[in-house]
Amino acid sequence: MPPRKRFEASAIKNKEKREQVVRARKKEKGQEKLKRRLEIAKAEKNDPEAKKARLEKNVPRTLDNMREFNPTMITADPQASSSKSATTDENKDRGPDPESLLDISLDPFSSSLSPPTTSLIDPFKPPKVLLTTSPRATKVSYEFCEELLSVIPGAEFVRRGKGMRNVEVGRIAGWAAGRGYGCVIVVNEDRKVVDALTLIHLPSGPSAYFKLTSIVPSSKISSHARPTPHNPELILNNFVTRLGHSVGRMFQTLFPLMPHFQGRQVVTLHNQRDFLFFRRHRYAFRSTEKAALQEIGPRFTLKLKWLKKGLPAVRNLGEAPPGVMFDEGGESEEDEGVEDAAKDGRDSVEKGETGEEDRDEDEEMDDGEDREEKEEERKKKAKKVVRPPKDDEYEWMWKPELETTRRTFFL
Amino acid sequence: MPTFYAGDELGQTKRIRWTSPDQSLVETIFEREGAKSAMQVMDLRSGMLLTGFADGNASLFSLQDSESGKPTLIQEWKESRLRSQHRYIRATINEKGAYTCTSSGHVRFVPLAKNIGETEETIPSQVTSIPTRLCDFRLSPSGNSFAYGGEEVDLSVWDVDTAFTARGSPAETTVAGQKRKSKSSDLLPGELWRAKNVPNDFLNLRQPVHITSLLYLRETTSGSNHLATGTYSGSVRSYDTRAGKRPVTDWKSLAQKGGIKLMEKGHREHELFIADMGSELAAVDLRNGRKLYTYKGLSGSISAIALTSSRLLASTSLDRLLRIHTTTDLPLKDGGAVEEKGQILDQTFLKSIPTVICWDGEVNSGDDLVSQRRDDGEADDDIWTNMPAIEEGSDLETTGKHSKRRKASHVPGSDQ
Repeated sequence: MPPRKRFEASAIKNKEKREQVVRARKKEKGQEKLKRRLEIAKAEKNDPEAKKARLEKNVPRTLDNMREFNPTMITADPQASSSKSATTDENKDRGPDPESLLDISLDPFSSSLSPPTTSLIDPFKPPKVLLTTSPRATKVSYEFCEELLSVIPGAEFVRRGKGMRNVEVGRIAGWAAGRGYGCVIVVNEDRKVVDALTLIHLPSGPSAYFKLTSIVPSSKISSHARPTPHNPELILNNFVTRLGHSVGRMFQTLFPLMPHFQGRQVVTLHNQRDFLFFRRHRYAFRSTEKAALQEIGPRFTLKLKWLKKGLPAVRNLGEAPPGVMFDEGGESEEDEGVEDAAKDGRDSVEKGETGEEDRDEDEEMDDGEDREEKEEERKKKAKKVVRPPKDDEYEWMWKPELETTRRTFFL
Repeated sequence: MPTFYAGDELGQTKRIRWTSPDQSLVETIFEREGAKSAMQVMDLRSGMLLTGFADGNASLFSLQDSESGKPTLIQEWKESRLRSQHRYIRATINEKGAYTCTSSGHVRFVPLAKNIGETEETIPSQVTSIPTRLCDFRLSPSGNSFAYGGEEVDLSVWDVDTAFTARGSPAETTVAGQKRKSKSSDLLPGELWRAKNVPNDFLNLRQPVHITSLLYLRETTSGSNHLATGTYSGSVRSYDTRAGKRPVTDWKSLAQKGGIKLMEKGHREHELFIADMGSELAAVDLRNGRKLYTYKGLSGSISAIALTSSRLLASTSLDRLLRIHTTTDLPLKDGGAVEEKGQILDQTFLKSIPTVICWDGEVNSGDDLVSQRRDDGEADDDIWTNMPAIEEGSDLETTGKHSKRRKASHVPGSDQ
């Protein structure tokens, strides 16, 4: 008699009978699997080597470890940077490519992250950060900004102007750069939901736009810890590519160089599959090996959408056209600078102060000083005019066509 | 197997030999000592490499007869008039010498040194001044004229010899805010032709003049120059100096984001490549101003492009990648769609931001993709000839609805 073929349960038209057969088959299959696993567990109980071998062999394939090769990855093993060559033992400990390291050391963040030893920068002093919202922000934005103020030491919040006093982000960045700020953060709100964050490194540094999701304020975190004004420690995980390094260093510039270890606060930015997870914890060592964590909050997720090379562009299409001019001497430069400082002072209406008011305040404060010194100070201030560019250049922008597979990541 | 030379923001010169996908050899052939200064302009012609840096220095190298593969320095000089907020916008080499131009309008012509090592003191370079706030400057293919354009500086064509001899000293400045009246008698000494602004828009407002890139499309001996400009608003305009001052064609909104950053003329007739301020690189048909195809997979703004004679295009972008693209033929009919689109063959990671790239001009035997395509065409012909011919009246001739209709109209007993 020919062997009976297994019949498909889907061929049974009667629903009750069909369900019965399927259930029985599934149960049988489950029991067979359990039997197999119990046998393996029994064999491995006395043989830990076998267990180790099995675990080493059965590494699950995930999107993270099946990641598509990105040529911009900066790895400790430069030989592996070509997808076809195999890694050998002799190449493993060579370290990242020196040219990549040189490029990183000369990027716009290097002046704040690795200042020359002769500079008088206090490593504990937090860099000035200007925090603001999108125009016509509501309570949601202000609450999130309050949280950010506690995270970033040195952050100052300023409300966005209304109506005529609403100035473009590019102009705000230029103004802030001239006033000694290190970074501008703009919290964007859409329909009563905070949805994006723009980080603009000053004076001429890159601007990054992140989409914000999964925001959990500290009040919503059960048994959350209380934040203190100590400088936090920073943990940046899994920034692998050159773009990842730029983004990581950008976040590094927000915080002071030296943390207060006394405060036991740690801020973590963990990158996984191009999503940056922000967490803030307080740690306490229970023993020399183990540490307990208590989350302070807030908790949010960021995703980079674009990274522009300079400040956000300001397209001043309405300005009066200057005539055809010839460039001759060097004197016109400084005059231009002073003129524009005065003009910017009048234009920068975010704080509601005009340039004249500013000067009046200065004069009140400097009652005892000489007029000459005031003039010099004014000139110094005037020389630090930072103009936003006329057009944007993108170092990287996300486009749907870039994600050719689910395993493609850029950070 | 084309070879490209690229310069980057750290002032290094790199040679990239591309042989096939995934196999490109990148080597740094020259590095400047001291403070790193970005390379802003580069030109390569007949074995001579001209580079200009952000600090005002410019160097001329010879790439031939080098045993170590390193370039030999022929001349170097510094543009002393260059100030911090301005930059080099173009460097070109000719048989006569090297021309460099800055955005402040300082043009310098350095004649080629007969011997290696002669500096500025021994060979005087000729300088001239053209208006400031320039964005692009080009020397004509023959070297007899040059053109420039910039922010509120309209396209202008000058004669090279008159420019350097007629004006040793810069012209008198105009008072800021006063517009120059565009009369033909108002041309500066040395200037041959100046463009006129496009007519006011539908609100009768003056259209701002902001040329971001320009190139010579054609230069005829009779003095008619055809030029193309890319503007800040994203339009591409073509001019004919003989036909008039207004642009002959004005194609708007060719740039997706921002203005047109780069323009290069392709080797095929009517082919133009444009790069915008976003990450778009597109091929444009000059007959009708339509974008034929855009390259997919670019993630950063293009900083420079270089064309080879073998239908390959190399582009460098701000995401530190050098990409090799294929270019495809234009449609035969004006207004038709392109059959095949250009593809990205390969990308190489250059560890610093590349700013300029040039092709070395050497055509190798294995390069010619055109001959390869001809072989493919022959293979196609074989396929067609080997296909069985269908006779009339057979079943295969009609399909679907037609066959039903035939069957319906088929009258029994009347077929032959």
